[in-house]
Amino acid sequence: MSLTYDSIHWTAHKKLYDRVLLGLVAGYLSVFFGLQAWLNPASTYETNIIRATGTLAFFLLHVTLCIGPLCRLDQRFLPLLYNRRHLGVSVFLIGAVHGVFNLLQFHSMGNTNIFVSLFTSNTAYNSFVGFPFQALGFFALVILFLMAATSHDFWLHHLTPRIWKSLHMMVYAAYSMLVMHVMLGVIQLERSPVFVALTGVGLFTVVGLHVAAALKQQKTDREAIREVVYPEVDAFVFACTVSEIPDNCAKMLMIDGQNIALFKYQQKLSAVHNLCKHQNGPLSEGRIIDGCITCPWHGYQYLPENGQSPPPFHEKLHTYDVLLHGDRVYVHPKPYPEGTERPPAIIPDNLSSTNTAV
Amino acid sequence: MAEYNQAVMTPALRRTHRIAWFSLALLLPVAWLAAVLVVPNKVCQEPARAPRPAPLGAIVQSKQSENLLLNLRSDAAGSRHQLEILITKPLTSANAVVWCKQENHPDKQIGLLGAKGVYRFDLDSTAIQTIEVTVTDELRKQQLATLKWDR
Repeated sequence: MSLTYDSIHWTAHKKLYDRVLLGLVAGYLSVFFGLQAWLNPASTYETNIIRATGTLAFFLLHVTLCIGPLCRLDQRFLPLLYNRRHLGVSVFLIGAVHGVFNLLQFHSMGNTNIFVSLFTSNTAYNSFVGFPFQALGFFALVILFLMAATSHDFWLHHLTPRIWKSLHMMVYAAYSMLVMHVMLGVIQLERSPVFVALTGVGLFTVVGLHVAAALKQQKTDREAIREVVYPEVDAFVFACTVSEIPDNCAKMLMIDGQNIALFKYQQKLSAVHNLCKHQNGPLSEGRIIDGCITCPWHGYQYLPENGQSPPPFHEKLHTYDVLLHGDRVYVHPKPYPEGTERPPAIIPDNLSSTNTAV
Repeated sequence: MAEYNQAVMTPALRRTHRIAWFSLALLLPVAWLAAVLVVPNKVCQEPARAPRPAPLGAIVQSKQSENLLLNLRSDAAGSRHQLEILITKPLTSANAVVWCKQENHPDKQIGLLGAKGVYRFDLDSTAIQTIEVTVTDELRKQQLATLKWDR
């Protein structure tokens, strides 16, 4: 969380993350070049660079795509999410080296513009097996470039989270194109089944994790929906009982189209809008840390009573009224303007919860 | 409220994610499998040029030019013929084409000459009464060497 735009807001966690990433990249390239020199000594440096960067970028893209669903399935993976953007930018940079060396090696020796050559050297666009797989790689790289170029919070703020997220969801199209870039390219030339198996394992892992996480999320979303069928107390809507919410945690509610996070903390209950102002992270999956709602994605913080980020930060959330009747908790779905102070519902001592967040 | 309504997009985004991945879960494995099924059983790579044939036993005629030595070879029975060209000095022509005219057949390109070395071309054994070989630089329209053989 930062007050101003820094090129990179370095933290100890980010530095460690990037060191590990840099070490993995250096280790992979070293091992790859060593193996090539041993097993395939006739291979040129250019070819080795193309192969090493292509396989590494493809592998790191799989890792990047697995982090999101892994975090939704198990919160222990959340530390991997905090700096995922550096991983994504690394994928683009390594992929760009692969692309540039390919253009130089295969398209720069003639008297035709290299990009014209890229799209016209193979024009079997109506064929499956002979499809110009290099064009697929090119367009995937363009998408990765757009994502890397807009990865900074500056662009998130100015494009708005909605457009920014939509733009970055294009990574799925890029991934699909890269899978086919590999399958219609190198796999058609390689006789070893190992390469086919590796691409299959990668594909089914990514797809499987995303589908599993989507199914889990769908279930959570359905459970969160509270229809305004029984407005038992004024327009308040029954949310849950006190004991259903662990201490310092939240329950997500979907009431009349409002996505609400209902937090229990210090014998109090407060409700705020569920979407973090940073990247629309799900605040209900976060916790109360140091008295503040803390987003599980990047650690943005808000005070539960008024939805405001503690000074000197400026982010604000909509707040909602909460009512306690016996052990039943009700929430009014009408949002107050962002940052409006609303008194929390006080949990009496006889309803002291035994639930504690793990 | 307008701003708020715009921000209420995560459920919609999640739904979009779900639709995207359910679709990809169907399409990508099918495309992957289709690509696996069309992998050729073996890599077919034709040689850029046919392997050079072994020399036939007898030289029936030779002709030396500035850069080339042309030998017309034949087997012992005289039933097979072969043209052998030795580039003795590097050619200055970028495009040296070997033409062969056998009896009344039209001129035929039988090969290209490049780097210094030995080149051999099998000839049509059904028309060996007269053989006329010409090496030309097609770019400069120059004749580099000729050989004519009458039986």
